[in-house]
Amino acid sequence: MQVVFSIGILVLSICIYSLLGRAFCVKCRFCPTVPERLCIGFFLYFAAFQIVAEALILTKQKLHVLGAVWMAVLAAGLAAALVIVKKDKGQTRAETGGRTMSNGARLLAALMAAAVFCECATAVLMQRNIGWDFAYYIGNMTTSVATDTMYVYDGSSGLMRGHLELRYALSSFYMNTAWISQITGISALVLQKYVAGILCVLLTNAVVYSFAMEVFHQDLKKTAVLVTITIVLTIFWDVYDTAAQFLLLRNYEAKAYCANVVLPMTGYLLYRLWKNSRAIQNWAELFLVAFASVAVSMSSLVLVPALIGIMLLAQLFVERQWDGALVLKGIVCMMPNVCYLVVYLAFTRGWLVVEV
Amino acid sequence: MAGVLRQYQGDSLYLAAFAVCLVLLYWKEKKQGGSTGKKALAAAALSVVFVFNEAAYQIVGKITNAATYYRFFWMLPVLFLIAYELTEAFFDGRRNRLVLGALAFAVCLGFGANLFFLNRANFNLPKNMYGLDQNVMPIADAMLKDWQETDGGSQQELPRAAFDIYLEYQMRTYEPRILWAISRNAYLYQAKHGYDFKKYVHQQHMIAAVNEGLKMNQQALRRSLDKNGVDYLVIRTEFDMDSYLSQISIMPVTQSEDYTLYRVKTAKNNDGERKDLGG
Repeated sequence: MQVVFSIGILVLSICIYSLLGRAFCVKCRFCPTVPERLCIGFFLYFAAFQIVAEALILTKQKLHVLGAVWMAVLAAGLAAALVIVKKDKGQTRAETGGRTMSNGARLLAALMAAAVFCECATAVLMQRNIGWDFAYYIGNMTTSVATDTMYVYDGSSGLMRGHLELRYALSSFYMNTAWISQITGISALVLQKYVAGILCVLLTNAVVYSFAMEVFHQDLKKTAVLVTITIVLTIFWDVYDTAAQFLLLRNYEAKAYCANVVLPMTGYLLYRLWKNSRAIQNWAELFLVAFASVAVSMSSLVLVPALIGIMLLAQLFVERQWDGALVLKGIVCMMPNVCYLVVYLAFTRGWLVVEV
Repeated sequence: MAGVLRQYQGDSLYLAAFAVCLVLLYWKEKKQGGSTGKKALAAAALSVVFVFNEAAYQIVGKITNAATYYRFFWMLPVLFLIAYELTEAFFDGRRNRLVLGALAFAVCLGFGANLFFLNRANFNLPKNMYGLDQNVMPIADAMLKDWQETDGGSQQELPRAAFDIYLEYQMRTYEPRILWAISRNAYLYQAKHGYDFKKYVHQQHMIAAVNEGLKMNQQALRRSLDKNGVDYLVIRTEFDMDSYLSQISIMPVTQSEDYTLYRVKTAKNNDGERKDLGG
């Protein structure tokens, strides 16, 4: 029964991300593909969740308080998103109404869908309980649910901490599963393994699809082939610690999201900025992804700013023209992670301690 | 840094294929007058200057943990770029490009140990909805039941148990009300230094008994268990520890398929402060 309810939660999550993503796109006045909207919704969800969750984690509130506050915020956000989308409904229909698909494109799209399905199945079948990390991350969630606290107890041992471990507590990703587990009564282990695991595979392919549609100028045939090839390459890449191995074996971990969703999405948006650095929508999307990156995974802390810095520098270097606006916007996009990095370094040096 | 690169490359051709695709992209874009190839190549060069070099590796290693440096490779769109070039080759319309693309694809897939998923042993078909070892649930349930039925099972304290490394990973993901008696650090230390009894002395006695079934000094084990307030031991039944443990008043409670659950004591050990889940 828990597995059935988990599938329901997966579907509900996708609907929520989709609605939020659509509202964001309407507000920013652009019309990306459906998979890209899903990704945007996912990042928007975690950007907002991080604000609420971190305020409560750092003030050592109970998990049920997070659940209650977040449900209220989410309900308000969804209501607002619904209003925004309803107002825009006619326009979106007009934009999507003219598209037709050839039989060849349909066939390749079906092949792509089958490949994604196979990858989801492979990800569930090949999932591994990878030692201490597995014990720690899943233990953190189950302990939070059992004690109605957040990061107060050590996820591995179950013993009370002396202070909050900011290396983990600065990211609210796992607490999202914890509050859902507490409300529904479904084991956090089941939710994380199946809901978060499959969602990771779906979002990974959504990013690849969006990137390919951009690169191939909305050519669905080429996009479908590229996504299928990527999936085959992923399944055939048996090297430990690669993004592919995280996707197949450790998809329940935040690191898998960092490697396969956050960084590819950042790379895709930076590619769009290479093409058009004046489009404010591209910058808005990049800022959103950067802002939510730490919420999704602490591994993004340095990786996202590093990627932004390198790709924007490459742009300046090749264009051979100083663009102050580009530099300024790039710095703004890096600022959320820089702030987290300062807090993290202050914690590791012992200058910032949140006592339990 | 070279070690990290070798580790990420493994025995596959993917990173080499990525480098070739990058050059191909640059070459094609140059012919068409585009700048994406140039930018991609510049980004690759900048990533070598700022990230993928020994100096950066040493600096980051000093600030955080060099063991996680492999994550910087996640910034490279390895699969996407390879797939992009292959797709372009397939849709090019020229037969030789199609054959060359298919050949490159096959070589990429076949080189190294990439067919691991064809080995049934690598499939982790879930035997239960948690995807955990079959012994975890019966042992955890029996332990909590026993804990609640005996004098020690008050609402204020929770059972502390010593497991072998394999069960320890999994136990608290199913039942967070059970606390670890052997820490991760103690297991890592023992794995590195063996039984030197210089650090984590008490926990090393427990590891010897529960992880390897070693029948060493019984009194030292008993002292270690008392000192750490351990309530239960979970040991592989095949180690046949019943008579050895019964001499220090540790009795079996129940058995699962492969493990035996032992109760260490019936009265609460009040030595030291217990900051557990209920406290």
